[in-house]
Amino acid sequence: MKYISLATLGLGLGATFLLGSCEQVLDKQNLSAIEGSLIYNDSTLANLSLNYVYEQNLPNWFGQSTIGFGNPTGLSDESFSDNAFMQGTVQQSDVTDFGTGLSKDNNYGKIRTINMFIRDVRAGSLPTGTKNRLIGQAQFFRAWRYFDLVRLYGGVPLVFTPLNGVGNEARDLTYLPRNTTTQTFAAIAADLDSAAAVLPGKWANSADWGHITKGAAQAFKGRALLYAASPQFNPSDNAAKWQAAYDASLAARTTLLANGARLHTSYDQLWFQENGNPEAVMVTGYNTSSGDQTRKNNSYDNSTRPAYTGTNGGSNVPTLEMVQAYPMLDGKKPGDATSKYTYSLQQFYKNRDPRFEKTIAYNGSTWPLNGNTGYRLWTYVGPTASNPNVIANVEPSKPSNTSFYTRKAISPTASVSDAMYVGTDWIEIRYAEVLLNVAEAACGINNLTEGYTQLKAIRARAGIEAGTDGNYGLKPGMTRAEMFDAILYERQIEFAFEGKRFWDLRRWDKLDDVLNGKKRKGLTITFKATTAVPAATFTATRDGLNLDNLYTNNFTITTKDVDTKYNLNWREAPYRFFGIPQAAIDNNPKLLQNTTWNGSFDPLQ
Amino acid sequence: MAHSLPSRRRPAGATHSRLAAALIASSALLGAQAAQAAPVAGGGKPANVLVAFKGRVVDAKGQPIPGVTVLIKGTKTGTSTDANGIFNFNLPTGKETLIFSFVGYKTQEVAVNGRSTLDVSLEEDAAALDDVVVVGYGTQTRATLTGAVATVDMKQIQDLPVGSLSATLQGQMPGVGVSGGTSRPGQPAQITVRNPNSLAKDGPQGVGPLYVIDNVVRSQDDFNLLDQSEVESISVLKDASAAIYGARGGQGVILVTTKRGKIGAPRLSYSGSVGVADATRLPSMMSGLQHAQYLNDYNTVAGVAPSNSAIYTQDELDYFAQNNTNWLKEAWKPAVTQRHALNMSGGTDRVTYFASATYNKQNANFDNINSDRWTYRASADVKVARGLNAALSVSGGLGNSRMYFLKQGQENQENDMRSLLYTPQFAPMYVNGLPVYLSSGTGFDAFHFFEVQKSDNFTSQRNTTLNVQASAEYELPFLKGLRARVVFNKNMANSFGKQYGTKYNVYQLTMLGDHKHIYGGDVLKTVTLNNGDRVRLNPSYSDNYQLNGYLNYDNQFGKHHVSALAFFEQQETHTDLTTAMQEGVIIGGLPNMSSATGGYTATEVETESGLLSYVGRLNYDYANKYLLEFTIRRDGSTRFAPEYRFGVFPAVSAGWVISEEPFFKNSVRLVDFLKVRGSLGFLGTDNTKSYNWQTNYSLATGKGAVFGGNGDRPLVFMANNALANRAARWDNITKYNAGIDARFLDNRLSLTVDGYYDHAYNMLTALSGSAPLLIGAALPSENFGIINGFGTEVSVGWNGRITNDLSFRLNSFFSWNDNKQVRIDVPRGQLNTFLDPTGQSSDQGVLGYRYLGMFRTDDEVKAFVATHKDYKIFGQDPKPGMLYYEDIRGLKNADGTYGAPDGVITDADVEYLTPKASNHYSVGFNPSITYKSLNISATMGISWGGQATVEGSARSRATATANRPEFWADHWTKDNPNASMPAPYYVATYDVTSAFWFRSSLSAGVRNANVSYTIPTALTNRISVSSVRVFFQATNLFNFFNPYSYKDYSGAYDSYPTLRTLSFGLNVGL
Repeated sequence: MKYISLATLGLGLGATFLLGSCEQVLDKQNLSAIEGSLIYNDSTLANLSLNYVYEQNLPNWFGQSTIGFGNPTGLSDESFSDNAFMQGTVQQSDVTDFGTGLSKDNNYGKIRTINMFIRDVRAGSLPTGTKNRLIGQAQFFRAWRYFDLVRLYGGVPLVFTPLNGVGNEARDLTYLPRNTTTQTFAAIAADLDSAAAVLPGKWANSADWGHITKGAAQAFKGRALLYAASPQFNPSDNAAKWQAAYDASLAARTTLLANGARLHTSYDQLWFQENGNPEAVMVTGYNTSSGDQTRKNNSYDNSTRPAYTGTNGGSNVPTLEMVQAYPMLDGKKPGDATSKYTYSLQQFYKNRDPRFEKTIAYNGSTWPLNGNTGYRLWTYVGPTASNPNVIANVEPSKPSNTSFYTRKAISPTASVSDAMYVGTDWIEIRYAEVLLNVAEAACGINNLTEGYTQLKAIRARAGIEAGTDGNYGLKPGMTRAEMFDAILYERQIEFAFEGKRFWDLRRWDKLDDVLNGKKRKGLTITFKATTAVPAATFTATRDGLNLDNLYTNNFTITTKDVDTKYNLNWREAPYRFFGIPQAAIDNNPKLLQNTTWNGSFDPLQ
Repeated sequence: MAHSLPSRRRPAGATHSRLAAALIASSALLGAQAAQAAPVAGGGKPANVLVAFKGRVVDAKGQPIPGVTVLIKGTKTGTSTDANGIFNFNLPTGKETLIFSFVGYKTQEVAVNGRSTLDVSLEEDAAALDDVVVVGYGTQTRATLTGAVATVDMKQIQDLPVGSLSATLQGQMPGVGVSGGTSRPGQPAQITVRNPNSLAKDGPQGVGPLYVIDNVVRSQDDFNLLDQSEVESISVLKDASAAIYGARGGQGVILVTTKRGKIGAPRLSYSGSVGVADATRLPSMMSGLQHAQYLNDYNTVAGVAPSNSAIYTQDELDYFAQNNTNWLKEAWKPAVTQRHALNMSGGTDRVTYFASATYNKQNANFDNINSDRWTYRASADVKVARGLNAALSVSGGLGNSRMYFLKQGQENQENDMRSLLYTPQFAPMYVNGLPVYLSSGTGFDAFHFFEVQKSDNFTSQRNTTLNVQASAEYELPFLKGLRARVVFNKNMANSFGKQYGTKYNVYQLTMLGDHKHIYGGDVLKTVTLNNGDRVRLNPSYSDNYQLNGYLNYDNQFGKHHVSALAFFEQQETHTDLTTAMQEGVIIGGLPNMSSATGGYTATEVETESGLLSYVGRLNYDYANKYLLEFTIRRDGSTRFAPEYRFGVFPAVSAGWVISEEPFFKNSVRLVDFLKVRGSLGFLGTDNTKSYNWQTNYSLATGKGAVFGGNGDRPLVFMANNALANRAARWDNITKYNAGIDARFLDNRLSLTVDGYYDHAYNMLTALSGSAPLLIGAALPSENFGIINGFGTEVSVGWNGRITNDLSFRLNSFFSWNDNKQVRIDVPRGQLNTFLDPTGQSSDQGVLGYRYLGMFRTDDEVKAFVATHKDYKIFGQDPKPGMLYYEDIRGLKNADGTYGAPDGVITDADVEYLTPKASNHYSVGFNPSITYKSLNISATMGISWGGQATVEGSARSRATATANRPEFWADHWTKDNPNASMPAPYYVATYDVTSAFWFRSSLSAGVRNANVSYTIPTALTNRISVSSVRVFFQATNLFNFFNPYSYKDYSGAYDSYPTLRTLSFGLNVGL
């Protein structure tokens, strides 16, 4: 019985003890996350956070924003595409860059990340200079985001602090209306001014190449204000807007020049210099890594080159319109009677602006590819290597539907299987753009001399003959309107396939002029056997044959439509400012729809 | 002592101290009791002259029943019958009362009254009123139950060869939904109880119930890792009876008790089956010829010239007519499943034991993938001394599954099916032995299934668990009926995931045919495709314990029966997951990191969590007539901020057994039993992510920008939880349930009716639509939503005996459920429009366009346009071959109203086309017929009330690299204006929901069927075997009705099809 008592006592005690509260069980912490205070008191860690801001916002090739709006080259005369924009069937909810719901990855999600970064850096204990540089870079990208929105829709709600949406009361305060377009541009300029005030003209460490500089912030401000001055936003041609744009771009040029920027000596090699490239004002870095988590490859290269020279291929093929747009070697337009070179479609490649050869690959052109410096491209229809008796397109797979390819910035050395891992950096703002922005804004304020100066600089670098008058083929004594056209034309050629053409035409309200009622064209080049060049041996011998002879004697050229389904139909009025998606308005009824989409918000205010 | 261990980072800190105390207490106890136990057995009491007693137990047909437990009433002394139904027993006095019990038979008490032999005939128990039903932390009899608790008839599921326990439950209980589990091997089914709703979206529990195995909260994976042969019972708590689980019980609780040893001679039994699993049907896709013609018709309408190389020329079409490759059929084959379960049990009145081992293997219908599972269990229950019982059990399992690693395109386990179905059938797998190049790019279309299969790329998962449970129970001597109990359960789970992907080569050919569409010619180039090119390991462990200390009181005072339970429960979990990856796999090397040459990455995720609860329960009944139960639970969870951690969850339920009332007993003859019951519980869930209340950041890979050349992407810090909600707390569900249990006609007919109403409020809701997107981050869950759920469940059972040899049972049930959303996340601009779901069911029906027809000819278009000027469908002019819809309204105005019909079809022209989208009515029908030793049973089900549609992936257009279902072959062209499908070119006009795509949602079929035959004991006894049963089992035997022409009746055509398994099996008892 003694045992039982003992046991009872033991169990009783044990049970009492066990039932005693022990909330230590609940004393847990989040082992997979880190408090903000640790990050923003350490410059290395804060830079890792800034790095995320960069990755969220740096544009892809063609300046694509990575949200909604895709590759703009097909939305112009540069390249073929089939979509609702070209068809004229865009609906009010189709342009979703504004966002259609809460997300950390749409424009407002990215803006929140930036706003949180700025808040947290401010609250941290880093030295003021470090803080300023971190915040300045973030402000640049906040301006970048608002610019992405304003050019599509006009004014948008401006959010500069991370909104608190938890709880009904806090949430009620987040139903913000749209700011005016003027306010939005002003906010962009203000952020860029703040950034320019604190950012260095040049980052001392080469490992920092690619970070935003003072010059980049100023150059981007120049671009943004040039949009604000363009007819899309400035139909009344308000001179003050041009002046502001001019001042901004001029300041950018001054800063950039002081920090070693200039036009790169080579129009094609400028794409392949990374650190210290004098022409690169704002770049998006890509690398050659193939690791799943470490790679950030430039997919443009692999998707643009001929399919059989990489693993994807055949996109971004130039239209015949682009091929024909290039000036002749003396800077005159093809067919211009004053040119010393005659243009003929049969030998479209002859005596053209040297930028033509560096941008467009055509049937028979020599195009160093896959490490083969003497590679010649063949896109004709004729006897194929595999079966000389069959007449077909000689391209081994996925032939170009215009017979052309874009060769700008395509790596000459990457092998077939490495084409998908190319690391060529994307240059979003080239020094050439800064110059042309200066020219255009100057033209806006009737300073046509400045326009001539910059156009000549661009043409000189391109390798156009200066001509006896030293005008590089430019018409002397142009009117303001002619000068605007000349600058737009220069931009078309200089920035071909750089994602700029669509936006230029749109801000100039010229998309309908250029596209509507038309079908973009390509060439069909057909081989014609002669006794000198018999069909049976052609595929074996063609790489050694003279191109001019071949085009004269052995190729028949016919044009064809690449827009087969419909005539292009860009609806100027509604597309000048796209509709805010209905889902975004449902989500926040304080947002007003644009007048161009049956709403009451005037994007010209 | 517990509080003296301050280490915060050692999650087990609190455990160690408390456990140590518990162990010290119990070992002191055990030692003391063991020392004291011996004299009791040896002669602590005056020894009686034992009376030899012998008996035989038979069933109604006079067949002996082996394994019947025979106990002396009021003790745990007993034995069990042998193969001939015979038992021998030495009784202390010869005047005891014996209790005979066996599963499926009514328990019978017989007074010995000095006899020395006895023949007992046990009656089969259909009504099962005396069935012991496992409820939370205890048991009750069916007769005195006051909650809505469904139980599984384990006999019904014992032969099923499916790979997860959850899949066996399909069609077994009303109000318990089981979906999936019978298609891709290794994939378990999902269980839901009574149509639950979850608005948080970030909680790990989702809409699933809580799983409790032997009183310990466990994971769904742990539940699925059980074999039915080691399970004694499964109960589902559907109403406030789950309140004893407080917070996590809000979405129902699945309770499992595992088998324990039974007093008696050792019994060994084996159960096994082998079967073949094949698709109920494979999807039908367009042949190569049909596909090419479809593409030509598409391109022709698109204006593509016949000379364009996209067009398939006549010579190519002719070739395809003769040369077609059905990729899926090449890869698919019937699979083999097998299951083996061995268990043994036995014991004396002092010790009982149980041990089992099971093995289950399923091959897949594709080579090189499979899943298998081992489980084991051993338990012993020891009566250490009078009043002191201890139990120890060890169980565990090993589950393996192996699937393909399909990394091209977005990683998805269905990529094998998709690739095989989408690959055009005009493409051969190999030309001259070389794998063909299918498409450019790195995406999914380029995927060559057979090369990946050959290169042995895999994703494998290996889960091992070890569970140890120790408990001790002591009847406190100072108060009759008071017991103290300690249970400690330790669960250790390891999983090892591995992915292996390589590069492989395919060959691009120069191609034949006028437009080079025929695979053939010379090799143009070798293309290396990258299927991941990695070895990736993700080992993890989870370490979890649960400690409960109980005080239990149970006593009878005359007709008053009182029982009470008070306990605490604490649980801590610590997990650590690492992911390590190396790229650059050497082709032909070994599938591990010794054959990889590229860069490494490794990450680690560690978590800890805890739960602390205090629980009390009081049961009272008067003469088994008036029943009352009250429970209360206080729960604390680490998912909420410290000041909001605790929630209190009370519940009450009551029952009245009317049939026990004298006025009823004497006057109503047909009714044997009638009980009404009701329950009310205040439950809740903590179904949101942990640390929802803290803003924090985490490191991420693959999201860094590249600076300064071609260096690797760096790590970045990004917000892990951008917005925190410190005020989030338990959400609330008030559950009401009313029920009737009745038995009629001499217990042959049983009826249970339940009606329920769940009022869920403060529901943790991740708001999205009703918050402006300007906020720019996902909102943390808030206590916001209100949804009322309701439904009814009716079960009817009939137990008939036609002759002595022929009997049948029929269990059937009906269930209906729906809900009403009182307050949910709605964009402000949609309030008071047709899209506003407030006040509606969460199933508002199918949202789509009002289908008017298909334009067949130009004349039809002209006639239509004559009356509908400027009619456009999503901006397109009407054309022959288009589907067209009714214009319901115009664009939305600035004030939020919709404009009048504007003559064009836009996305404003949708409406709810049917009242419901999913089936809300279901009937289960589970008959069983027994003739002598032959039994035939089936599980059948019908559901209806919704509206099914052709899935989006079947509606979307085919491309040159992606095939679509066969029905697309009959599409509109100028020459085929009466086609069943529209012209493929106008994608935007047909790839939307409308009545054109409606199919019947009625589903009726035989889910399982079983024929079993027990070999007469006279025969089996000759070979010293007590019982032998052979059976044939079929799952998904057939569906009465399939509304789809191109696939089986459930699931999308491009996912693994439902399998029909036919298996033979054998049960042997020794």
